[in-house]
Amino acid sequence: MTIILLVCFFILLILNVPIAFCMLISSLVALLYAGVNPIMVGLETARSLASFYTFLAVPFFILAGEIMSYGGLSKRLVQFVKSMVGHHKNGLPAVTTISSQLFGAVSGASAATCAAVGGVMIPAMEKQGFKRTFSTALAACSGTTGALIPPSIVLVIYGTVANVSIEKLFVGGVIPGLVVGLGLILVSWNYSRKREIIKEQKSSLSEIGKSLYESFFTLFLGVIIFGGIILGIFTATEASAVAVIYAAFIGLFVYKKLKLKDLPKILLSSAKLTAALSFLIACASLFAWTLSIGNVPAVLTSNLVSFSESVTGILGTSLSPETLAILKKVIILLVLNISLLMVGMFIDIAPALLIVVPVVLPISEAIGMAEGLAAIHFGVMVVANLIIGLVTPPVGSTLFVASAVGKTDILAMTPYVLRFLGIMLIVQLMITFIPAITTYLPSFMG
Amino acid sequence: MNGTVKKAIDKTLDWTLILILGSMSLLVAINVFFRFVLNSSIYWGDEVALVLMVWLTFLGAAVSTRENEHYEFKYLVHKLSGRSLKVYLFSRHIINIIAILILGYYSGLVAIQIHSWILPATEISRSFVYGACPLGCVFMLIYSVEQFISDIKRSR
Repeated sequence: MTIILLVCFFILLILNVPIAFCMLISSLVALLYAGVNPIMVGLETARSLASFYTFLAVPFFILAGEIMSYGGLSKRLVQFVKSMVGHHKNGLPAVTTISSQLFGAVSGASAATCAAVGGVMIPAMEKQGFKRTFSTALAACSGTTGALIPPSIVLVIYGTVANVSIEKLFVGGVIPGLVVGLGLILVSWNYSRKREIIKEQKSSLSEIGKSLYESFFTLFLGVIIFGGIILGIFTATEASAVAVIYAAFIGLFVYKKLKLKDLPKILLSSAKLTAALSFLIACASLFAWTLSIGNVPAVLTSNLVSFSESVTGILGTSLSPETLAILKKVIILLVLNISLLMVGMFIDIAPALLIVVPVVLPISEAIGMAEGLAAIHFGVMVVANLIIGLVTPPVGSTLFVASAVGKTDILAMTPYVLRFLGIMLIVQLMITFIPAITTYLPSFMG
Repeated sequence: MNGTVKKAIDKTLDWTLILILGSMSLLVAINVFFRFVLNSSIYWGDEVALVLMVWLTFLGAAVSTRENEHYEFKYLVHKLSGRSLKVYLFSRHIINIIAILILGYYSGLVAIQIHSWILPATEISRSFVYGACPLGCVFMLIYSVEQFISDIKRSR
């Protein structure tokens, strides 16, 4: 049954059938083969709808992000970041990274972030003397890392599927996200150090003050969302709805860039983005259920555990049981890291999460990472891991978008992408093996 | 399909989505206001938001079908051309239509069988919630068949 399910799924996937339909048809075929009543197709998709309340945060954050772009809130944010650090030799790469993280957090889609920020920053950086291929590689890599910074849509999806606190995932993603961003800035600093860069003029204090004043309402939105969630005033869903109303109010009445007649267009495009995701979730729930009928997650977990045992067995029995247990966990996590990287290379992050999470959750149980803060650590690790796949040459899907936005060849970008990937992999290992990076902040929450 | 009919369907679906997402955001935000400022919440608020989300999902999926915006794995298609591309496109259309028919049929069955179950707060039948799926499938089917026919015409 499992073989039929997976073969059917991958054939349809390669035929470019929408992933949701691949899941539907392959599940039905496998269920019919196993003699399960096919009405389960209807029942399981319907059952997934009950989990949609937490998912409500997704359309709201998408909507808030779109309103912010239209209402001029995002632009002021980039302007503010630019006035603070733009005059440094490595200023613009830093602006690109920080803006991508801020923008990626709300838009949730790395491709959209890369297009939005890259479209502005790649030409600007080229003017200053950065190679176009370098700037495009940076836009691609930094565009993906926003998925770790709250309010990240990807983390909401993980929380919905894995049934983990979204608020804690948000807070847990902060430090890992900042560390990756810092890593990217460091790599670009190393690059710009050796090049002739035309620096931007330093902003005067009054200019900084002006851009701070102009972006104040945008920054304050971050305070409302993040403060509200970390203090336990809002749930993520409530915070997202407040963000929509706040952004619309500021855009309409304070900055006056947003027009009432723009609203239907914004609502429609957000609704479309949401539906593509939530429809996928409905079908993925059926697929996950079929996988579990076929016992796939359990078999995979036990195989992985026995693999780690055989490896530690080779290493000898002279080690203490505690060290052996840690070693086993390390091996399982490494295998998991590599597999997730490969999945992320081929499939966009949202569908990848929906396919992967039901399979890896039993693994998290086997290594004692299914409860409490460890579950948060596991979630952030999985998401961070899949992100890297998005920019791994030659197939990472965000690379394609970036090469189109920056009008360069993926091959020409590759040397720079590899440098950024290097640091992303190092940070991934840190996230995986130093739990405190993720769990320190959420440990203050109730 | 008749151009005017298609336009009417397009417009209706678009405006339904706009209204659903708009009212959903307002509803949840107003509920937050009630909870924190007036210390009482609208008891049916969360439930209605959830029902709206379900409708948004399946009507939106129809719009995604119309605009080819479902998540896909897009690597093979660029390499095909001529006859192989044609064969591939036709088989893809047929597979999509089969998938929509399957989902529509079984979700329709569930929606009918579940009609006597009611939602706790609003006391409406659950058929109203799960009915979104078969209805969305009807629109998905219309769009898929329409794309199929226009691809056949184009290939002649």
